[in-house]
Amino acid sequence: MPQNELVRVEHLTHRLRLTRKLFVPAVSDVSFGIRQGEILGIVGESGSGKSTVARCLMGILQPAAGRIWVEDIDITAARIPKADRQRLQRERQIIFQDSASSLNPRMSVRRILSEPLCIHGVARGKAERERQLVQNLGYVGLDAGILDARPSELSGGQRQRVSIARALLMEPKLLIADEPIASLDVSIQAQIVNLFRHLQREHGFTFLFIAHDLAMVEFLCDRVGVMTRGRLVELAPTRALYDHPLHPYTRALLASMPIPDPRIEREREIAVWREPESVAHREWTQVEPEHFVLLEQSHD
Amino acid sequence: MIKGGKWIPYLLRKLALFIASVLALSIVVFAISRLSPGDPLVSYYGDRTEKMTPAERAQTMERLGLNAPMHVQYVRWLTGALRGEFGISYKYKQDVLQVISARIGNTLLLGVPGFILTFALALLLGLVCAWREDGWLDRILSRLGTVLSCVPEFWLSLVLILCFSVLWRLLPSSGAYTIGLENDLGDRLRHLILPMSVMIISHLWYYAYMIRNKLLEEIRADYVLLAKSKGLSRGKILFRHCLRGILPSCISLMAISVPHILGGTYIIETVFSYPGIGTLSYESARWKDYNMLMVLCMLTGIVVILANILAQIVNERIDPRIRAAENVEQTEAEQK
Amino acid sequence: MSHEHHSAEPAPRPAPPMEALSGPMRFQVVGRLDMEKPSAAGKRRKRVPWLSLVLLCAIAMGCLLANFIAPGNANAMDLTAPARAPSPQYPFGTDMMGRNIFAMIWHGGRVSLSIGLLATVISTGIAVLYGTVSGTGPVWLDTLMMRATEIFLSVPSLLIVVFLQAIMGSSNAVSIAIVLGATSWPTIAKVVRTEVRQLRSSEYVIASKCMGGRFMHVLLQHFAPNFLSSIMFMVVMNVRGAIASESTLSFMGLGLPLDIVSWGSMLSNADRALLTGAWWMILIPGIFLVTTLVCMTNIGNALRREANRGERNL
Repeated sequence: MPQNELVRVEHLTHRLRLTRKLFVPAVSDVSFGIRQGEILGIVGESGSGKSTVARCLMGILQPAAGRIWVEDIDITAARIPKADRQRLQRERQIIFQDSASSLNPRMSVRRILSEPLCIHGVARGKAERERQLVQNLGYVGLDAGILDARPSELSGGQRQRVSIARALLMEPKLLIADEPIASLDVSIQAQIVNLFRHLQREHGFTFLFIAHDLAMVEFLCDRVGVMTRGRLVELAPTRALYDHPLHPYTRALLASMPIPDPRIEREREIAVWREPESVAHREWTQVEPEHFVLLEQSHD
Repeated sequence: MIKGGKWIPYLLRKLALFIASVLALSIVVFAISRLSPGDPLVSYYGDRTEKMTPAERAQTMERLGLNAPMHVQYVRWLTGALRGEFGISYKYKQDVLQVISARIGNTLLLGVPGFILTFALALLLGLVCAWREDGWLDRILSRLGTVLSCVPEFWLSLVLILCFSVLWRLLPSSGAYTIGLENDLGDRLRHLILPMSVMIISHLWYYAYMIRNKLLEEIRADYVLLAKSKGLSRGKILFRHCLRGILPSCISLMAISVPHILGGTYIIETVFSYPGIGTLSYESARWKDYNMLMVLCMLTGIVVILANILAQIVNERIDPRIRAAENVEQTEAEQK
Repeated sequence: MSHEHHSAEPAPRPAPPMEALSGPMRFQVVGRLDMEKPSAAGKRRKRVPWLSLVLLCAIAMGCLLANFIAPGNANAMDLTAPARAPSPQYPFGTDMMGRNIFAMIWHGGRVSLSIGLLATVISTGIAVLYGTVSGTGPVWLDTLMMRATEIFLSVPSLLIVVFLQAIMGSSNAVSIAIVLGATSWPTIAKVVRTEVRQLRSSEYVIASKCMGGRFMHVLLQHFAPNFLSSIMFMVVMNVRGAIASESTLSFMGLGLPLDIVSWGSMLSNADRALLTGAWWMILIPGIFLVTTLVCMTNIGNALRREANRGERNL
């Protein structure tokens, strides 16, 4: 594990079980690292395995093969010592796509936010806890007035802010956001992405941002990985990837990005990428410093 | 109606399920019966047990096979059971099957007509109530039915005996026949009236209510509107279409209700000292007559398991659409 | 089709004469499809079973205050006055052993109601734990546990109760409550399990687990508030069932002995009462018993209507 990496994923493979005998590969042989304090974006169409990677990192899913280290704890090990597990639960937090379902509709915002504090028994008295909740709501741009509201009384943006506040309460080192903006209106999306950027600078957590909106990823992330059909096909610093995409899928994906100019947009031809029918050999290669591509060689 | 898959492998699967369930049941019943305290020798030898010397005691235990380890006793019992040997009753000093076969006719005589009558009347009552939902008749019947279905069987029996046997002296209060009139059909029927009334009264409304709700659900289906638009009369729609629509659920309701009605019959038999399976199991439970109790438990359990499997088959094969909704109802039926 | 519509216009409606209809198309309005389908539960407004609540509260209060209403020992026998019919001195009469039935009703009600409550607490506790384990566990465990409940349900509960009674030894109110509680959990457990199965993959439960929420934490904070409304009805019915079972068992001589007064054990001498035609010994405890059971049923049904309506509104 390189010195400055917080997360290391090696040859991660996961299969989803459909029936007793039928499996669908969700993630195949994915390797990457996340450096301390960076924002890594992962893009890809829906069904490309992004969320599965996130869930494996959270320990919600057990990968079929491969290993994952988070802060030099091997979370794919059969037994994780209790102290390590508790540390992970505090320092690794997730934000889900749909804030309507990731917040218990029967709880008030106050109870939702105090839940992690209760679980880890870190609350010191009522006043202190209240202060902490208000402070965290402040981070995400909400005021104390909503503490008694239920999730159904809030707007989508407010709800997502609440789940961000809940994740930040434990002062995590690693924050994973699984499509946190996909279910929001476009104007709110920009607000939330700006908020992420601001929060990351303030708190300095390491951030894995999963999305399918290329523009938002370009704006927010330091490095970007591209996934399709369960494979990571390209991983590079944001500028390098957006300026010189190498893998054909990345090119097709970037070419599909709308350009806010109708004259250019009208002339454009959208490239379509098809996965090669049979691949004889795949190799994860570093073509430039920090720029990795999955080289695929077909049979013919 | 046959949908998805062939019948024979399906039925084989159900048969396997049945056998597995019966085996599991037998293990449970055997374990419970052997773990219960209480000296089985007392029921076999009565007061004489106290006078036995320890040596005599051990010898008798050995002879009855009560000393072997549990699993050996179980295997011995099971192999015997497969050959139709269930051992002798400690209390009656007779072959268990003999005692049971002498009485099972009485229980069937009470149970089967009672069961059929209950459901026939429930269907009728359900129809009457669904005919005018929330009408005065529906309301009155609902109130009355709720009250009657809350009355415990034993107390209802007591009240009926008090009225019809003690105060008005119209009907006999106990037994299956008057001694000396064993073959008189009229006398037998007179003995059946009270127990069967209790059986019907205490179960009727619960099932009538279920059937009523099913019918109301059916009436709100869109096809009824279509039938009406064709000009069919209300009665025809209700009898020809809706009734047919709820038939599968009625059958599965009947199957699910078996344990409940069976349990009720046992209590009723005991109150009326009616010489059937219920009275027998009550007596053998009081006297710790293990062999008898196990056979009776197994017998009841097998009937219930059969009924459950029948309900499953009806649900899964005949009426696939109620599969999801049935779970809720089943638990409600069991709750009662 | 609307049922309202139906009852307003008696069917079959006579077809209008052909000449009355003009034009090439002839229609007959038989109902409106877009009409909201009314249902029995939805149509009725919130209905609180006031009568049942008041009666039940009155009985419960009477039992709680048994020592004020009928001071002294309910078991006290007056051998000079056995089997007296109701009179000003003994409002409800006396039983075979000369015990004052009026006092026995209140003191015995206390026992009966406590048995019902305790048994329900026990069975609900078992059911919630069992259902949650089955609902959150892997598929094989779930299947196994649900099969086990079916086998459990296939043995008549009366026989299980008799067995357990024998294991527990001498019977008293607590042991009966334990036995009844230990036999009546499977139906509630099934409902809990179904609800938990639906909830366990919701993201807030996953989120709670990621934060380190333990089994009990997730159960109490997330599962319980959700399945509470759907099991409330069954819990009330469980109290009812336990009271009814206790009285049946005691009547049959398999439950409480004669000297522990409850509504059931008061009836266990009923056969002798029958012989002498002493109606008050049978009717009076029974009426109290049945009234309590009916009130609980009405309250339970009201709770069920409430729960169903809640689902519809969501």
